[in-house]
Amino acid sequence: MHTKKNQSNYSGQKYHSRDATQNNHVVSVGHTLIDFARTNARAELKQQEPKKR
Amino acid sequence: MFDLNLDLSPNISLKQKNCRLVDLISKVVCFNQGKLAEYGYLAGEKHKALKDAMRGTGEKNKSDIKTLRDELTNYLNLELKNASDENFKFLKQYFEGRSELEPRICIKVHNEGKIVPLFRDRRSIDDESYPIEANTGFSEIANKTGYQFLCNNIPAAIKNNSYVNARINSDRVTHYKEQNIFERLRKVDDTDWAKCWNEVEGVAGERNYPPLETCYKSTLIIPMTLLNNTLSGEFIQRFEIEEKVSPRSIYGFLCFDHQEINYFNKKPDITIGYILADMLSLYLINSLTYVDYSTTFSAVEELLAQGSE
Repeated sequence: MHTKKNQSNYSGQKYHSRDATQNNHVVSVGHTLIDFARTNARAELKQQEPKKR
Repeated sequence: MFDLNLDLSPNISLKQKNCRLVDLISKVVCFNQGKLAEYGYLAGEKHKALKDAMRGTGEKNKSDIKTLRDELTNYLNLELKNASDENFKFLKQYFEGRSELEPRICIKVHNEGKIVPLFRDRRSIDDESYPIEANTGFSEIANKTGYQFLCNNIPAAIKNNSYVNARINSDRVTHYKEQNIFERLRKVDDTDWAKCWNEVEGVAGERNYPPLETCYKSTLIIPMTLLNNTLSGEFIQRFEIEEKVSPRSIYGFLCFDHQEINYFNKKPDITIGYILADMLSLYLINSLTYVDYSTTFSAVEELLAQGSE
């Protein structure tokens, strides 16, 4: 049984926010993956800086 | 036989193209079959270890739980990136020979009203996040059609008011003169088009026009979707899908762009795009299952947050 909706004070509730889209349920991905991607992107860009110079 | 056009070389016959395409699809399915089996199993094991550590009413060992939490998320995130990179390589094989310049490929997701870049085949500028409405491609898919978005001539589309992109200055586009056929054939750098795009920050903090390869004229966006009408009630409830409101759920977007006009071939590119987007969506859904939709993970985050308050 999925009980997560009953938890009231967990910040992760924002993970499941939905856009008010007309037809489609656009899933909101949580910060764990987003933060990883941002860190990874910064590292990739930094690696390329010497090449640009 | 597939009637798809692999633009490998004008000298390759249709039969050879079809054979190479079927071979490529076979490689895609084979790679992802193994990788997904591994991804689901190992993530499940790591999640189970975390769940076991959270069992019982006694005091929890936060340090151990944090280690297990990090093992789970590091595995999920890193392997999702690795799988994306491998699938990007397959897609590049598909587009091989169509142009001297490769398309750019990336995965984007939705987070709190914004479209956020996740992984790219290559990176030359700092990707920013924009509201869904800031790009016609994403807003058309998310708010209207639910299907792919293809625009093969962005300068013309902006001029006739059918395309918006927050990175492009529409006023500058009105003065932009498209390259003639000879300039296009001679592959002359279209620096005037780059000047229509918002400046980006250089290495020393200076403002420059963005690199030409990031100033695309063709774009194809494929949503990573699940059609809800074929899913069981149990699954729909678990994933908090409101099937009566939404005929489909969109987990992310597989995005392609290219700096030439008319780069994409509508039917075959959309077909291959959906095959890869469907594959990649399974990694995303697995990741969501063990993190965003996991009651254990929620409890772990709550427990670890208590210590840092």
